[in-house]
Amino acid sequence: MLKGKRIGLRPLETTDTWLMYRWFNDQRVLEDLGAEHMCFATSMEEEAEFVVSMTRDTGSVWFLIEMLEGHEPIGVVGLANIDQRNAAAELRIVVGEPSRWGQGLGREAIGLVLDYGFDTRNLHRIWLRVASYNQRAISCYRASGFVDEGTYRQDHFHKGRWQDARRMSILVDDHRRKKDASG
Amino acid sequence: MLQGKLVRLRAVERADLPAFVRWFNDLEVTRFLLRSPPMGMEEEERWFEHLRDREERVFSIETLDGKLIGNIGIIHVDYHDRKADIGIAIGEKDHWSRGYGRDAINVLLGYMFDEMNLERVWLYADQKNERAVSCYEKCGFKREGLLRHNHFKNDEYADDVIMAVIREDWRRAHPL
Repeated sequence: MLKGKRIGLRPLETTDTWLMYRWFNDQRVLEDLGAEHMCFATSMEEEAEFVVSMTRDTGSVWFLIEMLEGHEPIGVVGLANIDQRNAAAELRIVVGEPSRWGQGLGREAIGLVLDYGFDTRNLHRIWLRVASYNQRAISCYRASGFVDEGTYRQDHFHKGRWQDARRMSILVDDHRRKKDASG
Repeated sequence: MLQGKLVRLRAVERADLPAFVRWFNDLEVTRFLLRSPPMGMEEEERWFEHLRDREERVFSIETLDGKLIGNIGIIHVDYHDRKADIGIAIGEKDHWSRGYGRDAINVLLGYMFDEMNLERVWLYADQKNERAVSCYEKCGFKREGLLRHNHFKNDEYADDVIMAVIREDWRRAHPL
């Protein structure tokens, strides 16, 4: 387990399907993801297949975020689209328990994944896509050291309007510098 | 999962199938539906197995306290013309005429216009199905025409009303 101060990361297991089912059927959770999902509802069997494919995919790595105290699972985080040739990957994170939002737990999980990506997997660059209206996420990514790279104009349709998405990234040097600065 | 005032729309689960079979074997429930009894459990299981490969997206309708009462589906989506047709059945008869179907349709319409970015949502209703037609009208559907002898049901050819709600109707009733 990768341990932070309040949360830890453990590998996603196929037995986590029920949690994933609950999180990815929660409109409050899906709302922020920038219309990534085909549909608003996923059945238990579909989610089970999806989780199996996530755990088997060699091009990505997924962790369950758990509270260190009590082991309550609160979300999922991972590196997807791992590009070995260019040492790059896409960060994806969902804190699926709205009661745990706004406590800096996602930021802690991102810190652990960045350490894992750069120090263990020897990546050079980690990037992400975020819906432009997801201010909570954007400020969390900035605080984690991600830099704005650009806008995908009118990227998806949501709440009756075309909405932008943003791309952000962090390089291994940004991350090391940030860690040195904070001691 | 989408939530309205009275109902939630969620994915169809295998455990829902016995209720579906019960409803679709009930002559009163299927009176105005395209599908007629009998329906077998194995047939319904085969339908469920292939649900994901099918173009139509079906959702279960449950009350806010979790009772399964019906289903609703987006049947064909045409992304070129940005239109789709829908179908709905409230299978639990003690929940008829109490606004559950209307709430389910409203929730689905919101998703279809504001998330799927569609221009037109349409359906056929049996002209004699007054309860349904008035429900669709309350949801914003307008009658567009009559399709004579459009389907054969219960020993006779029946006429269908074609009804649709277009984006500007929806927006007027549900401003951003």
